[in-house]
Amino acid sequence: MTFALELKKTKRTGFFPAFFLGALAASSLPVINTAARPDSFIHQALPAGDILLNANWLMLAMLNIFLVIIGACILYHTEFSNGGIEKMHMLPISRNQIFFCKALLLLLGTGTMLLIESLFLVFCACHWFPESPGLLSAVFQNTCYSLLMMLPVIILMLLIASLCRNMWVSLGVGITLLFTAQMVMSSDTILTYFPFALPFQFLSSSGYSREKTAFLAAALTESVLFGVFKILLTKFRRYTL
Amino acid sequence: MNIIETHNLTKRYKDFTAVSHINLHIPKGQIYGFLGPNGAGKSTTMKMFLGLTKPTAGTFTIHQMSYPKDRREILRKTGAFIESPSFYGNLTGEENLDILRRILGLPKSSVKDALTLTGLYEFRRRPASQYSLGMKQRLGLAGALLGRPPMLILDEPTNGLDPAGIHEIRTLIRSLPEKYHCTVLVSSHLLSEIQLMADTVGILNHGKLLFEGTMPHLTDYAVKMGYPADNLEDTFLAMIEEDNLKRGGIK
Repeated sequence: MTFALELKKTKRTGFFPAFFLGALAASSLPVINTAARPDSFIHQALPAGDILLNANWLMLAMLNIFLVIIGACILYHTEFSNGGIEKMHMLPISRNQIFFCKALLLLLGTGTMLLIESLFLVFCACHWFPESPGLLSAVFQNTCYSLLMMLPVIILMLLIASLCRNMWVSLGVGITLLFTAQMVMSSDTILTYFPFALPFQFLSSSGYSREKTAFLAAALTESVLFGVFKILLTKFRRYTL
Repeated sequence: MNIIETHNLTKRYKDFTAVSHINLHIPKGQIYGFLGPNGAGKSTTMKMFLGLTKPTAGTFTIHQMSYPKDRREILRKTGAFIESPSFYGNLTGEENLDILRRILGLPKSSVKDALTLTGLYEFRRRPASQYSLGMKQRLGLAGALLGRPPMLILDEPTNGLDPAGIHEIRTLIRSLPEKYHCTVLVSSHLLSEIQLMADTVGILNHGKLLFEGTMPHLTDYAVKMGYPADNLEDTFLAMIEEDNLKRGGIK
């Protein structure tokens, strides 16, 4: 029931159009990139999926994170702008339930966005690399992997948005974290596990290496930690269910 | 029988005491006027009743239930409107109330009922962000009245309304205990409003309860203490002034 209510609250906020249009804009990148300089890609001795992801994923991941930041800001701006959340606090509904339903909503938007991007990647592969065996399976696996990598960003960003009444503050924090991630993602230290740096990882055709599995474990652990932090925060700040 | 009872209820914020050891007794089926100057602790007390803020000390019961154990049940039975109307600006008045209805598990007809009761029915399809201040206030009231809860907590419900609106809302609140057998705890700066509405009053100053009792009791008390007893406003002002003087304030 709470999920349906959260879905209803997004009406006229531009939440889903933002994800849909953002996904289309991001998806056009691999198409334009490959169309503009096909010779740079079609002669590479790698599977089609790897070539496309190597060439485009950094940009796609950055746009995806940006859209998650915007999505989280929209979801909580709707709550704070006219005090809707205050009314929710006076009703017999769990604050944590509201938060996690919003996370699910954001996950749904991200999933849709990744799916659209994957479809465009498949289109690029079929168009420029007609002989690409196992492409669909590779792209599908990467979509699922990317969605899991996005999980800590979704929960952390929602947590930030839920704590800042002013949307511009949460937007600013999100963008700062995104830029920080770009600086630390290629370091050899533990900083590569920085939540906002994880979505820059992708799954190549070689599948799950030890390194990719470690990233996956980090993403899941961070998501659980942020989720638990939210629950504790609700518990200690006010009454909760 | 009292629907709300507090026992030495206290709320402190670091070195500031917002509410200090108050013992309220809000009788069932009556309108209880909660009076006090700005910062007296009225809203803080109401927020404690709604579980929005935790008491520092003391206890209270609502329908003989307490927080946090019975939070869901208390909130299900309590309609509230605190400080300013809270709503979703992107949704219409009807959609806003429908969200509340679904959370409270009420029938669909309750939305129409609340909209009609507050005179918003013809504007139900307009986004709430486009409502005037008075209409937003009515929407907040409609949210509190949804499902006709047995307990209503209203903080300054007539703020932002024009004189006709104030009269209309006052008449509505006045009719609630009789029509729907509900208890109303209402705070207002408009003392004349409270005088016309309330059966019992509680007067708060600097977090301390100065008086609690029925309107005739207040008149008797005013005469006994030498305060002007002609109208509530004069009694209230004299009472507050004396309390401030006792605290070392300037007359």
